[in-house]
Order: sequence, then C-alpha cells, then structure tokens
Amino acid sequence: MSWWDKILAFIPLELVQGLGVTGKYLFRKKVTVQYPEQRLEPKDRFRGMFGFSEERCIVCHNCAKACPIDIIHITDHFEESVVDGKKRKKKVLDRYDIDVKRCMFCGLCEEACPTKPVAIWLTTKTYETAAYERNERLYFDKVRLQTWDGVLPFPGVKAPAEGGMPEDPKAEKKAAGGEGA
Amino acid sequence: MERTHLKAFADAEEMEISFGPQHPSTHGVLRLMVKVDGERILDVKPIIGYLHRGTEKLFERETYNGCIPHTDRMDYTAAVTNNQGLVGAVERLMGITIPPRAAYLRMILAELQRLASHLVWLATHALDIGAQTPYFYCFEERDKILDLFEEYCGARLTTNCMRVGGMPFDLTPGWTDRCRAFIEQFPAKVSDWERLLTKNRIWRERTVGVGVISAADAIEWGLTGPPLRGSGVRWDIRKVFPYDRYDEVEFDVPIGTNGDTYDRYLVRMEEMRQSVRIIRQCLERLPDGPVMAKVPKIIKPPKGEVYFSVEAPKGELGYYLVSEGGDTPYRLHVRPACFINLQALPEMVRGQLVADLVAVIGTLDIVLGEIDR
Repeated sequence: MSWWDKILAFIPLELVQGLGVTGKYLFRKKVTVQYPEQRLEPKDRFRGMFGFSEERCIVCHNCAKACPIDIIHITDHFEESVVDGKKRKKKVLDRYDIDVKRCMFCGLCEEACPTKPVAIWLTTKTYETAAYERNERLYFDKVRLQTWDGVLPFPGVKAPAEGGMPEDPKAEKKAAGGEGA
Repeated sequence: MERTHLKAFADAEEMEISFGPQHPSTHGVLRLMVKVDGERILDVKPIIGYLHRGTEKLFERETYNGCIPHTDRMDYTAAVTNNQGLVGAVERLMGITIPPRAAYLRMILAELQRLASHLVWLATHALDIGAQTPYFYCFEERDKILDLFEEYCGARLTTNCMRVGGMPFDLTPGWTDRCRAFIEQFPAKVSDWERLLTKNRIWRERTVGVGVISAADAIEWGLTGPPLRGSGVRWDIRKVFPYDRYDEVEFDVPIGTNGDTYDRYLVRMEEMRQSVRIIRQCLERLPDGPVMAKVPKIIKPPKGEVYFSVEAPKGELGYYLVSEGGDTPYRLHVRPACFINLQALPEMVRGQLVADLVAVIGTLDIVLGEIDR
C-alpha cells in the first residue's frame, strides 16, 4: 500500500458516492400512497371479494369441487315445473355459502365455473374484508354474496335491474335437455 | 476448530442463549440455540417447525391443480417458481409438452420472481447489517414487479399463475410493453444499490470473510443456489438440466471465489442483471399461439414417480411426485432450497461473532415458510 492509498483510506469517498445516490432519490417524485386517504385501483384481474349470480348458477357443484380447502357449501333440490305442457325437472339452489374467512383467493372456483359469463367471480376489486366478528361478517350466504355493499357485476355484464339478461346458453341447454335423464 | 482457542478470557463461561423465534433478524420464526463464549459463537442449533402447516400432507388430498395454491405459501417471496416446479413435475410424469408461448411466459414470470425475491433478500439483508436505505429503494422496485404479476394473474404474492399443461390465461394487452419498460430501467437501479453498498467500508467490514464455506464443504452440505455459487461452484439447474426453454436463451452463471457473505452478495447482484438479460431475450422471442396444451379436465398422471427440480431464487427446488394413477398425488415430497441451505448455518458461524450470525442468516436468504412447509 503506497502512501497515497493510505491517505485515501482515511477519506470515505465511497460514502460520499452513496450519499450522491440518496441525494438523487431525495428530489424525485414520491411513490408512496397515503393509504386510507389515497387508494390505488386494483387491476382488472385482481382477485378480491366474491360476487355471485344465482340466475346464472346452474348448480353443477364444480366450484365446490375445485376449491382446494372446501369452503364452498352447496345444497340443492330438484323442482318440477310444467312448461308448455311438459314436465321439467330443474335443480334449485337451497344454500350457496362461502366461508370467506378461510378463503385464500386462488380463483380456482371462478375458473371451474362452466357458465358464460361466470356465475361466481372474484374480480370485484374489493380487498377490504376486515371485520370485527369473523364468523358472522365473513360467512357469506347466497343472499349476502349478491347484495353486499360494493358488489360489482361481472365486467361487461349489465345487472338484471338495468335490463341486462344473463346470456347462459349452457344453463338453458341443460334445463331444456332433461336434467333428470 | 478447538473450543479452547475461542476462549477470549480464561474465566469466561459458556452460555446458551435462545435467539428468536420472535427476533426480527431471523427472517420469520426461526429459533436458534446459540452457545456463546462472550461474543464468540461456539455452536448454533436451529430449531424449526414454528410455521409447519403440513403442506406435503395437504397435497395428498388435493387435485393436482388444487395443489398449486398450496405451493404459493411455501416460499412466499417466490410463489411463481414454486408453481413452476410443481406443474413441471406433473407434466414430466404425464409426458405433456407445453406450447412455446406458455414456456416463454413461465420463464418471464419466473425471472421476474427471481428479481423480486432477490430484492427482498437485498432489502432485509442490508437492513439487518445496518444499511437502511436500500430497503426502501428495493421495495419500490419490487412493487413494480408485483404490479406486473397483479395485472397478469390477479394476485401480487400468492400468484397461483400456472396450471398443468400451460398457463391459465394469456397476457393482457400492453403487458409486454410495461414489462419491457420495467426491465429497461432496472439495471440502472442495480447500479445505484451497488454504489450504495459494494465499496462501502461498513458493508465490507460486515461481510468480507464472514460466514465462509469452502466449495467442497458447500457441496457436501448440499447447498444450492447463490450459497453454492458464492463458493465458486458453477451449478445452476437452468444450465445443467434445462427446463422450459432455458436452453434457448443466453445467460451466464455468476460465481464467487471466497465463499463469504460478500461474494454471495456479488453473485446475487449479478444474477439480477442476468435475469434482466433473460427477460429481454424472452420478450423478443415471445411466440404467438395458445398458452395451454391439450390436457384432460381431470388430471390423472400414470402410475409412477418423477423428480423434477427448478432453479428457485433460493436454490434448487425439487418436487418428488409419486402417483398411483389417481387424481390426487400419492406422495408429493418437496426438496426445499432453504431447509438444506440452513443446515450449513452452524458450520458457517462457528467461531464468528454474534453480530455475524445475523449477517449469515441474511446471506442464506431463508424463508421459514419453505423450511417448515
């Protein structure tokens, strides 16, 4: 080590270099978001709180089978009705419950749903699901799944109240094609 | 090393202290029983299991696609590579070839995940050693990666973004442009952090010569990933057993020479640059076409067993899958990188100071979710 290196070793040049970096960052635009006041909009595919449409649901139980932790509980019964003089059997939902407090928002139920557009979806862009009483507030039955505050229709689908009809060819086909056969 | 050498004072007594599981520098719920003589560490015994969730047992009751969300939660800073290993194992057993677009998508996402994981490592490692500034810069960059993940698959951390046979959905319009914009500005950020740390005398004092492990020892302990490459062994699953399309892209495997904490730091910084290089090539070549191969709706691999491993950010992540022909795995064993890297911890810290223990835990880049599973 030469005498020049020895002198240099006393001068913390690399610390000054580091300060230069922090100085550069100091005068940049801030990237932090002050959360409760400012909110970021989740992306379109963001998986959040559930939305459910009972009209589109064909009670096929695919979502309950796809759920890795079995938190979707479905019970149904057959209902006979007479349409155009023909007897028809149709599956009717009794219960459609989701135990949201245990949900891990993997989205496999949405993928398994055969209707088009899907009858259960997680793209409601709602992520604030905190509650004081988890067993009551985070257990959703089929009524609450459709009416909770902020539930959004599936993208591109009008709510029935606005005159939109759920286009669901499979459900009609199934209902017409003799469910009981 | 003989213990008598380590006695700083003749009348000093050996003491056993419990370090963790709530200590912030243990990166989770790792508990260490540290036998110290004053400031010197005589021995360390890791005690694990505080985050045990029985994931391997859970796999046995899930369908193959239902296993994927569970793998997200093993190494929760690198969910994409966890998914990649599992679907790769099932695909190899079933003999499925995934479409080229799906393979390239997997590589892009996996390399982005490697960047994100290394950023968490750099942030927390530097914070442990006392450099607080990189933490904020790293997490800002990581957030941009997570935004890309959110846009692609809908989740930021537990991505669940792969399925057996390909990818569940295609990219959103404009995703590649945003990804390219991100990786173009990224190498400059890496240079910024290196300017903060690489020559910094405090950083060098805390890392050079700390936690040394020789190449022979590293191989004997079964280390993989940056801890192995830091010791000078050029071993990378992406090179030696290429999966997806890693044989079609060009990248270097950086290695260290001394096997100390500083070399592992240099290796990981260079790996980030190489990841950017891989992503850039993948984006250029990204072919059009389907993202999902033709697979049956209910996945039933034939009877047999397979071992498939990927290069996760922390090291070799392997899945040993035994199938009885049903729709659930008979046994799915995970070879986690962190669990095996952690075993070398006592070897690396013996004879060092207590403060170095924190540096060595940081440099091993452990995630307790993967160790305990």
